[in-house]
Amino acid sequence: MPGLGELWPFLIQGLAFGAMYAMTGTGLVVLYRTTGVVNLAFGAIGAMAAHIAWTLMGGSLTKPIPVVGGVRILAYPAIVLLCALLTLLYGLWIAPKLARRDPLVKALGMLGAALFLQGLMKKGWDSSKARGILFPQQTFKLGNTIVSTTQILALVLSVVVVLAVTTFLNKTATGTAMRAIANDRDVSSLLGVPVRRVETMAWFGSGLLCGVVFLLLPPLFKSLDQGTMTYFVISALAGAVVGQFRSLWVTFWASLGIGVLESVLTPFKNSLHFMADYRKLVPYVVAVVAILWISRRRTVVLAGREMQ
Amino acid sequence: MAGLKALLPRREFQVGAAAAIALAAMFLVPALFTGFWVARFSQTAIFAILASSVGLLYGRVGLVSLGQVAPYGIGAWVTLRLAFATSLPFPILLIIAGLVAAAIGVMIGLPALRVSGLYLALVTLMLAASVEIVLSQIKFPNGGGGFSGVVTQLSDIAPMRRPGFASSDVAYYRFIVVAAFIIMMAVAFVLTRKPGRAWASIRQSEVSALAAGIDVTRYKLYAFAIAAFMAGVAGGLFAGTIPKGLSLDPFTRQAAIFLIAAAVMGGIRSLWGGLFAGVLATLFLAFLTQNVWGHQLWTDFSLSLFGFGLLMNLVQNTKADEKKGIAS
Amino acid sequence: MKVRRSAAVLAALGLVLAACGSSSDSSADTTGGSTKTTDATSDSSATTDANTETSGGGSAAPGESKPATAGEGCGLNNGKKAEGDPIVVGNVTTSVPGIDFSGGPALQQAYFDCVNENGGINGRPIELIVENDNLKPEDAAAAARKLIESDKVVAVVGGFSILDCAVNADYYKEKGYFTIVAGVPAECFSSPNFAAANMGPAYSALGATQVIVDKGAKGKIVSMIPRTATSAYGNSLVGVYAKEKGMEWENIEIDVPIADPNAAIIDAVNRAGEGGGLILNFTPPEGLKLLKAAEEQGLIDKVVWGSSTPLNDNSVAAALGEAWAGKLNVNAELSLLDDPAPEMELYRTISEKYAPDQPLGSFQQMGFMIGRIIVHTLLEMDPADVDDPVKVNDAIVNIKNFNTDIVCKPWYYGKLDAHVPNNWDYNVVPNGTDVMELDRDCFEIAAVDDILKDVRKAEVEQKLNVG
Repeated sequence: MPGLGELWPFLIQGLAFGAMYAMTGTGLVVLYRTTGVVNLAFGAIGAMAAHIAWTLMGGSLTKPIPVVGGVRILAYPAIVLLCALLTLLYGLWIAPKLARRDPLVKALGMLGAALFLQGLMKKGWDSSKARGILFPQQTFKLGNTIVSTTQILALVLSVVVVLAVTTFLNKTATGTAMRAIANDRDVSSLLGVPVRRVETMAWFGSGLLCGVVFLLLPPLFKSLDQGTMTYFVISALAGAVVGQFRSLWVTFWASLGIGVLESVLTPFKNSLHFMADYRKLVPYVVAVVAILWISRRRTVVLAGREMQ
Repeated sequence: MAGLKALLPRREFQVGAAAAIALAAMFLVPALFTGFWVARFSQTAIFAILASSVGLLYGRVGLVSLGQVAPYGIGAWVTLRLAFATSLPFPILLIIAGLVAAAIGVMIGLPALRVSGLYLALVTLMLAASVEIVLSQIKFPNGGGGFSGVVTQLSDIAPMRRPGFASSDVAYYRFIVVAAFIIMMAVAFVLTRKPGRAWASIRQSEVSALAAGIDVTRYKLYAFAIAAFMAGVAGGLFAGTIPKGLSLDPFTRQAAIFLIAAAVMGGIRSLWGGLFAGVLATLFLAFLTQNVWGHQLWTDFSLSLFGFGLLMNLVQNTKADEKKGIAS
Repeated sequence: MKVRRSAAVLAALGLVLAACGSSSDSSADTTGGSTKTTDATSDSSATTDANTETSGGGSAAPGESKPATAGEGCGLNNGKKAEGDPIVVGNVTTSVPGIDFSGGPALQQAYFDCVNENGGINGRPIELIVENDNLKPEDAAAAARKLIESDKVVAVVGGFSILDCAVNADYYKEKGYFTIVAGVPAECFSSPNFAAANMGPAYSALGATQVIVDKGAKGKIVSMIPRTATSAYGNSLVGVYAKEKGMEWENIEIDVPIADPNAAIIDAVNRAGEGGGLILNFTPPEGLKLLKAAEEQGLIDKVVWGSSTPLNDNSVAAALGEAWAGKLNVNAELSLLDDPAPEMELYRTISEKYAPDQPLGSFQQMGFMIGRIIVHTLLEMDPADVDDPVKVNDAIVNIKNFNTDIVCKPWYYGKLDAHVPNNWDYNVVPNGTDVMELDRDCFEIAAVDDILKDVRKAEVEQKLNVG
């Protein structure tokens, strides 16, 4: 059994990843509630944007981690912007064509987009080479544990994002419109809510969130890894599922918990071998248990969008 | 019943066509093509069963499972392990594999009874991801002796046993075609009986199905069990196509997404769609990688191709539905 | 099931070959322009210069002239275009996104192209057929059967496959083919019908272990490797060697792609303990994750770091940067890409002229070397025999003392139950800016297992590499 002191670094790491899950979850929930789309291409879009930014930054085999200086510093906003644009592109071009289908078909559409982007990435960037796009960071000691500014930034940003998005939804006109559309798209439209414009904003906003996530994910993963980044969204879904694609704060806390649990099980190799080996299953187990719990008495209806 | 009788000639024609295709596949393919292509056709038949299992759930019952690679992998694993641990005849192994997979399918189906279509898709997508992790942990593609044998060198992995009467590549290919034909016919038969009608009404509207006195729970589970059985048998057949050990490759998250893409592109409304999906995912890809402008482009782009295909299909379906005046 | 790869298992399987070393950045960055200008010069250096060196080479009748030796040019080196029925050889290679080994055969082909412009095999061209196994066992089996039964190749040489050795070992034995490969799995190094240009993950990790123990790793060695069906092989000899040195050993298998490198590396370093040794057996992207995490966590100086050959890649050196200068010991199976030896000169020349889109890299080096081996072997044979697979394979199995600058010792095939002809290695370290630099010249891989013991004995008894 590892001592508490030994668990600290894993706890910090888990909080950082939990924060990434939380921000991803927030992006998924906001988009889902406004447009009915579960963005399963969140990871693929982020990975694609990071790869493009890596190239724009002057990444090559000689410079797998491009030096940041001068205009190259623009690569960081570039990731965020590219993410937002790619998401928006889908939102404006493909999503309207599927607007009247049920959320299931919309989610399948995102899977199609994810596969499409993955193929492009595999073609464009040889995945057998080391490649990184590391956000500048400092490390410092907290007790005996080394903590990086990226980890702190991840945690702080996730809180800020959830706070900001909640405030936005509750206090601004657009936010109110988003909530109205989430409740009933047709009625909102009749009442004069500019549905298309609000949906466009939701796509762009969740794209920006995707950008923030993929600004910080590469330094946490330490490498631009197409597979890991693309499928990050599947693990991150768990938090949103626990929050029933409705509550941002439940999503936030569930995501943090999942991240921490997944990480602190690592050093239990000797005593709880099984738990350590299967720790990556944590998000899925949590999600399934949550669904069974939520649905114990009734049919689950996702955020009021589905009639059953 | 009268309506059903009116359909009979059409159905007989379809059965006849399927039988003719199966016969042609059995005898013309080995005569006309090299071993490489015979191997591809074997995969086509296997993928057709697998894609049909996705189509059965989605097209007939309206349930989307992104986790059909799970029963597929489990079927392959059970067949592989039992082949090393026992001396049961191969067809029996396939049936056991199918039954074990079906049991798993029911377990997947249980939460599905209570959640909406989207939740089911998300849960099954997570299931596909879990299967990848679990199979990796138990060192899945491994052909050590006994039921749980693990060897450290690939060369110690004994070749997977095939049926005694179909040990050569061509004979085993014919065995696969026959197995696929039998399964497809059995499913086609079930579709014309009570379950098929129950599924159709569940797909139309669960509420009216309930009102009509259909045991929705039972028939949903039934669909999951049959689809998982199909996938399990397909997995078992797949295990036999591999000379040494299995690869984890066909049972990953990505394979799961690829499968749904291919199934939707092939068409989910009829069993022919499964066959078409099989052709797309195996023969068509092999043709591209073999014959068109240098293969590298296509192996890289194959994912993009199928992703694009899935998207276009969904959009086209939407347009077609809207033309017919059916919203959502 | 046609899906090519979730990066995870691909990377895992592709492990050691996946980047058997360095690929040069310069050529990767400069396609086009500079290549054209150098064409003329490389042309002359490959043919004309060499002609003046070999006495009267150009006019020698087929069969009489001596094959060129390292650095002198291609094949007969007589500037005559080969004509007539080709002599066909083939191989099985893995080429899927993420694991693309086609660079090896590409340089074998490039060398054949040069040979075919310089007299061929006694006037006849040599042709190469490369079959892709698509990383699928069923395809690998089909590929070997196609080559031998339909294409009727006289030899199976130069395959760079994850699967070929394991899947087709029995088949090649049955058909009497002695195959030259570059491979990953254990059977490429434990079968009478395979001899490899590389040495595989187990011996490479062992070489790295020797170096880190020599550099002061104490107490315990921890080795890490991606979890696959057969991953136990990769680090097995690390354990044997550690025990021989009275040290503890623990092997950690982790799932790739690694999603939480910090957790993984903290855990591993904790287990090794202060001053222990850590051996990595990963592809560049995965290895980089762990090393960068170690840097962030301030673990670089806690243990002595070693790695099998895949991290001998300049992209790794560049990504690691200053903090790792001289701190990571990477086993290298082949000479460095800028090595001035004549054969390496020839390799660079051929690469530039005949395969301008290929970077300089270890696969390419090995493909080139294998190309030279088979051409040399065919040229030494009676021209009447080169269409007979039995005689060609008999000649291959009798290859001894093939002089090459690319591996440490002369290469050979020999009649052995298991072949490890490449069993002396280099050690390289990142220079802190952008390349891997030589740290230790050729040293002997310790014969801690029966296979290598038998190999060393046979080398002496059959005079295989002691010219």
